[in-house]
Amino acid sequence: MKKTLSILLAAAMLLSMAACGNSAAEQKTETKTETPAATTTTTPAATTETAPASTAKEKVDGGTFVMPLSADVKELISIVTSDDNIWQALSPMWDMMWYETNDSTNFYLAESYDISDDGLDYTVKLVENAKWHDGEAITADDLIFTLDACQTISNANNIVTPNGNGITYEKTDDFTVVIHLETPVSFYSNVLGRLTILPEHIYEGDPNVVGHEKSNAGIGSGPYKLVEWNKGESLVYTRNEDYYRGKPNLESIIMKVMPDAAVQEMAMQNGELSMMRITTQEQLDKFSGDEKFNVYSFSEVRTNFLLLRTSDNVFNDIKARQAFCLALNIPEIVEASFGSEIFASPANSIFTPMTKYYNPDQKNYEQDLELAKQLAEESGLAGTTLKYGYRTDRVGMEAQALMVQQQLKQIGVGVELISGNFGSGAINNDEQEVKLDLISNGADSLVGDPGTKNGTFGNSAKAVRNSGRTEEYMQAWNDAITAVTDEARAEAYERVQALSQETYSFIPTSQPNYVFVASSQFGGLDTNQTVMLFQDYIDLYMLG
Amino acid sequence: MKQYLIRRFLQLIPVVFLVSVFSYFIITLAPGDPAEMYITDEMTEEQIQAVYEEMGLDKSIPEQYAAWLGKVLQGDFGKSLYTSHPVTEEIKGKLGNTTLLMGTAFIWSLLVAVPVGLICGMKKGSLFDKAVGAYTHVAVSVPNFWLAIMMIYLFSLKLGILPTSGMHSLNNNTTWDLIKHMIMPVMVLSIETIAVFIKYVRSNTISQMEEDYVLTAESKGCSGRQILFGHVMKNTLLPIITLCGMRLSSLVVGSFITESVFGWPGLGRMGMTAINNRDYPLIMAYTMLSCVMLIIGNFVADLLYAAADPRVKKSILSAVDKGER
Repeated sequence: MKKTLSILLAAAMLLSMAACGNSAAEQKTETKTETPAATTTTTPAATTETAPASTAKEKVDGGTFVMPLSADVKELISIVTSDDNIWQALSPMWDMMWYETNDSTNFYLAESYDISDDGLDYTVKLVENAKWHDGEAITADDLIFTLDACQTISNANNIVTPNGNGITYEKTDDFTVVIHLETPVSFYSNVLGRLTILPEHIYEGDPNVVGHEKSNAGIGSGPYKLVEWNKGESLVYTRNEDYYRGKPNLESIIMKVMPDAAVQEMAMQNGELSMMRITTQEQLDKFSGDEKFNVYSFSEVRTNFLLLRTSDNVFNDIKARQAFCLALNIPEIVEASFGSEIFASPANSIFTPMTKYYNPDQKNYEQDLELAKQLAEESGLAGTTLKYGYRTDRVGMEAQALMVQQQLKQIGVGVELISGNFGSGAINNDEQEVKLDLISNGADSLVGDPGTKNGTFGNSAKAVRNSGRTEEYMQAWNDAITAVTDEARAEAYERVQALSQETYSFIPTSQPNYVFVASSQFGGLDTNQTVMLFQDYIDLYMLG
Repeated sequence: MKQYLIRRFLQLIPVVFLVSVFSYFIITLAPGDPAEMYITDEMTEEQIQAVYEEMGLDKSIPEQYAAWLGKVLQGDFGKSLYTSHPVTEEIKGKLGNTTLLMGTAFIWSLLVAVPVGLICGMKKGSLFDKAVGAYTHVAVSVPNFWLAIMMIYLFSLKLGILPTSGMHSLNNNTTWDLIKHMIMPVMVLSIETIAVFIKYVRSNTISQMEEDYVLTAESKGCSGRQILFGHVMKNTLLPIITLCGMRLSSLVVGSFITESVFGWPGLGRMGMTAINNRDYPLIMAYTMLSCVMLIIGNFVADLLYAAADPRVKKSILSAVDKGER
C-alpha cells in the first residue's frame, strides 16, 4: 500500500515537473505553429504587437509601470557599467547626452555636438534648462567632473583613452565642453553620447565615485526620481515634475527584484508585473492572442559568436579552424537554441543590421561536411576532444553548445562541455586550471558605430590576444576607427567584416531579439528600439 | 565543568580553521577564472593585471589563503568584489531578514511537529498516525523549489490571495503585509523540517511509552494526558535539543533556493549571487558564518542537553574527572 502510494506520488511529481519545465532546448521539438509576424532583423527593427487591441483606449495621465530585475543594483550610478541589469534598473533616473543608432541621433542632456574636420575636437553643447533632482542646474562643470571620474574607472577606456590615446578637455562656457582627442576615433561620439553625467556638487570634487557614499544619494537627471531603494527588493521611482523635456505620463516606475523566471511569469499573469522578457515559444504562445497582453520584439543589437583559441593548440593550424567552421550548420544551431525566428536569426556578420556600416551581403560560413572531414583529417583535428566553455546565464547558450557538440561529432571531433561565467578573455587565459579551446559569448550594444567593440572584435590589446587575427584584418580595423569621413569608415568596416571571415577563428552564430510581453494597459512601448529598456521613459503611457 | 567548557571551546578553533582551508581551496579550484567577471573588453593589459592584483589572484592559492586569513584575524573580511562594499556590511544588511524568515519557520515547525509527533506516538497505528506518516514521506521527498513554484501558482496566480515574492508590498510596511509575504516561504521551509521533527518526536514518544515509569504511572491511575505531559514529553523532547542546535546555522545563512524563488532579500540569496559572481570574499565570509554557527549550535545543544538531563551532566563530569574529556 505504502509502496503503491509512493510510486503514485512520485509519478504525480514528475508529471508536474515536466509541465513546469520551460527549457529553450525542449522547445525545438514542438511543432512550430504559425507565429505572429516575426520581427525581421534585416531591416531596422520593427516592433510586433501580436495581441489584437480591445476597444480603443485613450492615453491617460498617471499609472504605475512595474518591471522585473534579475538582481539588485550595487549602487545608484550607472556610469559606464556593462551590466544590462544595472542599466535597466537605473535608466529612469539617468539621462544620456545623446543616443546614436545607425541612422539617427536622439538628443537628451546635450542639444548638439560638433566634430572638427580633422576628427580631433568634440564640442558638446548641453541644454540649458536641465536640472538635477535636487534642483541644481546641470552644467559643463558636471560633464568635466564626470570625465575626471571616468579617469578612475578601469572600464571607461573608451571615454578617456579611446583607441589607447588620452584626451584633454575644458569648458568654454557654462554649458559647453570641448574634448580633444589625439587621433580620430570613429566611435567616440557613440560612447560619449551614452555617458551619464554625474552631479559634481554632491561629490565635493572627489572623482572616486565607485563605492563613494554619495553615489547612493539618488540625485539623477532623468524623467524619474528615485524615492525608495528597498535593498534586495525594489527601486521605486516617481515622475520628475520639473523634467526639462516635459512631464512624464506615468506617475511611477517600479523595478522589482525577482530572480526566478518562473515567478516572474506568474507575477506577469496575475498583474504584479507590467512587463517581462520572454525567451521561449511556450511563453510566446501563452501571451500572444491574450487581450490582456501585447508582445513586442526588436533587435537586441547583439551578435552571439564562437571564439577559438589558436595560440597553442590544434587551432593554430588554419585548416583545423576551417574544418571546425565548415562542420557547423549555423541556421540549425540557431533554431535549436532559440526555437523560433522571433527570438533570433542566424548571423551573417559580426555586426548586426542595427550597426552602422553593417554589410547585408556578407556571408557566414556554410556547412560543407565533406570538406570539413578532409580538413579535419589533414590538420589532426579529427580524433581530438575540444574543451568548450559556455555561459549558462545567456539565453540559448547551453542548447547551442549541445548542437555544436553534435555537429562536430560528424567530423570525428569530440567536445567536452564546461559551463561557467566565461568572458572572451577566457580563451587566452593561461592561468586557468582548464584551458579552453573555444567559448561562446556575445557582443552587445552593437548599435551605431561598431568601433566601441574594438576590445572584442578589433585590434585592441585584449582582442589581439584572441588570435587568428591577421595583420590585414587589424589594419582594416584601425583604418575604420581612425577614418574621418563616413565613406572611408564604410569602406574599412566592409573590409573588416570580410576579413573577419578569413580568420576562421571568430564565428558569428546568432543575432537575438529582445522579446517581451507587456500589459495591454500600457502604450508607447514600441517607440524605443533599444535593449536598454527604455531609452526614453517619456514615451510610455497608460491607457484608460 | 568550567574546564570542560573551556576545553570544548578551544576544540572549536582547529575545526573552524580546517573548514576555512577546505572551503577556500574548493572555491578556488572551481572551473573558470573569477577575474573574468570583472574584466571588460576595453581594458588594457595593465588594467587587467591590476584587477588580478587587487583580487590577489597574482599569488599562489596558499599565499592567497594566508593573506585572507591574516586579514580575517584582524577582523577584516575584505570587500565584496561585486559591490565594493565591506563584506561585514553586506552580511549585516541581510542578516535580520534571514533570521526573521528562518526563525519563524523554525518556531512554526516546532509548534506543529511537537504536538503532532506526541499524538502520533501515543496513538501509534491509528488513522491519524498513518496519515501523518504519509505526509512525512512526501514532505522529505518533495524538492523545495518545486514546492515553492507550486505554492506561488496556487496561492498567487490561481487564488490571488498571497503576493508572489518579496518581503513587502510597495508603500505598505505593515506587519500584516509582512506576514502575507512570509506565509509561503515559511511553509516551504517548514514542511520538510516539520516532517523530520515529527519522526523524531513520534519515535521517541513510542520508546518512552514502553518505559517502566509509564507503566508505574498507569498503574497509579494517571490519565493519558497526565502521563504524556507530566512524564513522557520532557524525555521525548531531549533529542530535539540536539536537532535545534544543528539547525541554528540555518537561522543565519538561510536557504539559497527558497530565498531566490521568493525574492526574499536575505543571506541565502546573497550567497547564491556571490557564488554566481565568484565573489570570493563574500563566499568565504558566508561559509565561515555557516560553519561557526553550526559549531556553536552543536556546542550550545550539548550544554542544554547536559542541563536538561542530569544523567548526561553526571556522565560528563565523571569523564572530566577521569581526564577523558
